Amino acid sequence: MDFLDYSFMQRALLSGFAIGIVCPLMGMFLVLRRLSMIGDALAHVSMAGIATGLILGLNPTITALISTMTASLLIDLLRKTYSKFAEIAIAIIMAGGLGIGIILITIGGSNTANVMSYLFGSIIAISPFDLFIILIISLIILTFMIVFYNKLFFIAFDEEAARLNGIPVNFINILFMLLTAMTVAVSIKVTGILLISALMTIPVATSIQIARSFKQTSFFSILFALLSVFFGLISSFYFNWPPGGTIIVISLLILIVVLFVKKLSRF
Amino acid sequence: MEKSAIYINNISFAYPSQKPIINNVTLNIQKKQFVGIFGPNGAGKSTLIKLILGLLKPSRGKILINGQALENFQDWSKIGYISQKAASFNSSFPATVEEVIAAPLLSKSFLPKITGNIQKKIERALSLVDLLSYKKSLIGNLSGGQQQRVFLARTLITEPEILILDEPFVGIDQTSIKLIFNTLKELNDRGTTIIMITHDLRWLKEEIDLLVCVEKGSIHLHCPVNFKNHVMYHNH
Ligand SMILES: Nc1ncnc2c1ncn2[C@@H]1O[C@H](COP(=O)(O)OP(=O)(O)O)[C@@H](O)[C@H]1O
Ligand SMILES: [Mg+2]
Repeated sequence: MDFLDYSFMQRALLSGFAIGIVCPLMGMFLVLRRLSMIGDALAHVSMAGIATGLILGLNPTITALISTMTASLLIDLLRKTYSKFAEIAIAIIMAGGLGIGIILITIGGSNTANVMSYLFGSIIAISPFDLFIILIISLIILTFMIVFYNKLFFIAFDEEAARLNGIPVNFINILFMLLTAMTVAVSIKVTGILLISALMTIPVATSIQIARSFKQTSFFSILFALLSVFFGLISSFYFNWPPGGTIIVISLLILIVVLFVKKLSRF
Repeated sequence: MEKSAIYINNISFAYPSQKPIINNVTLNIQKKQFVGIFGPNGAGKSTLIKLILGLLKPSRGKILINGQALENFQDWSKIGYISQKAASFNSSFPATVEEVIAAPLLSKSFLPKITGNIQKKIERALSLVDLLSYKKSLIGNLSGGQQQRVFLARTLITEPEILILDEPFVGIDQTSIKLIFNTLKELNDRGTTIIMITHDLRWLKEEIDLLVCVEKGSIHLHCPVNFKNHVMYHNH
């Protein structure tokens, strides 16, 4: 357990613990509402935010937060314009964010030179201030999820019926989009831009394979995400690989094991 | 005169950039009535229902529910609704029958904890549709007819005074049809207003108080003559 002697590793593990809870929780509702592409789109948009932060000398986590939250509101607006093709809205925002991001990174020159650590995540790049933001934002997301869990379940299962039962569906949907944006922004440092949405979806996909109820789906999603993050960060430490990669590979290994065990138990 | 359950006065409606689908329709549904809505595909039956539920807004006219203007009506737990697409939901959704049925009650509170009181209501609703033993089953593992019964149980858990069903018998087995119909009959006898869109008039013959025939364009459709009472209106 010598990795615990390093303060950067303590910060990485604490951040990982926080996002290992909020990513699968938010991801579960995205997956069930067939909106998992939104996580990916927002992650690409965050690139523009991060590049802006690096160029202007502002904290990139904060500028990423601003860019993803703005983009999430834009997606919501566009989805109403293209109500029959909601995924177009997602594709448009993703392309826009990526385009601006690439230009800004090129303009930024030496300021944006360490952009790799944002693409794939980094265990040494999490400052005490980053950790502070990650924990605060995660706490906000978790509070929202606890307060709205039952309503989100009803909306995900049957939006029309939820509306008729007096649930403020539009309000909750916008709030949910903003919190998805926050989840993406705080996860960047750990998982990297390219693999955030994987941490929001793979543990959920694994969980659905074995869960016998919605409650179990929530529980297993978080469990698998936490296992992936924890062992991913540790292997990242020992092998010096980017944590984004190790976390996702471990979450895929868990999926394979679960599928295999499920198959065996059928006989 | 007792207040109407639903009173529709001269409403019209068109989907954006389309010809009007509902034209100057007036309809009075009394409390405790069993109402059938009948008509060909695309006639506007589902649209009419969605207007009553406030899911769509009429371009003109007025709708009253329990004597109250639709815009001011608050007590939606008194209205149960099973939509046409209810049975074609995402069947891999990882939720148990119990979780689905409890949703309308639990969504009023924070924690996903099913208390003794809610548990009792779940069991009562489930026994009405004869699915008590499926309480802990994943909803995706049930047959189409059983799933439709779960949706019925979900609307029954808030003890609605008006129950609106949009083609509940499409694509489900005879056993489930019979069971759902008997449940509806029983509820109607105990005072629930029932409004049901259906193509299958066999089931409605004895029970129905009012048959509403929705017509499409110039195709003329007559309501079967052996019904006690019927109302017709023309679209387009
Ligand atoms: N959301 C919608 N947008 C545009 N047109 C619609 C929409 N829903 C239904 N329609 C059209 O309105 C007509 C009536 O539909 P509907 O009320 O569902 O008929 P029914 O339930 O009697 O089969 C159909 O021609 C249908 O294509
Ligand atoms: Mg219809």
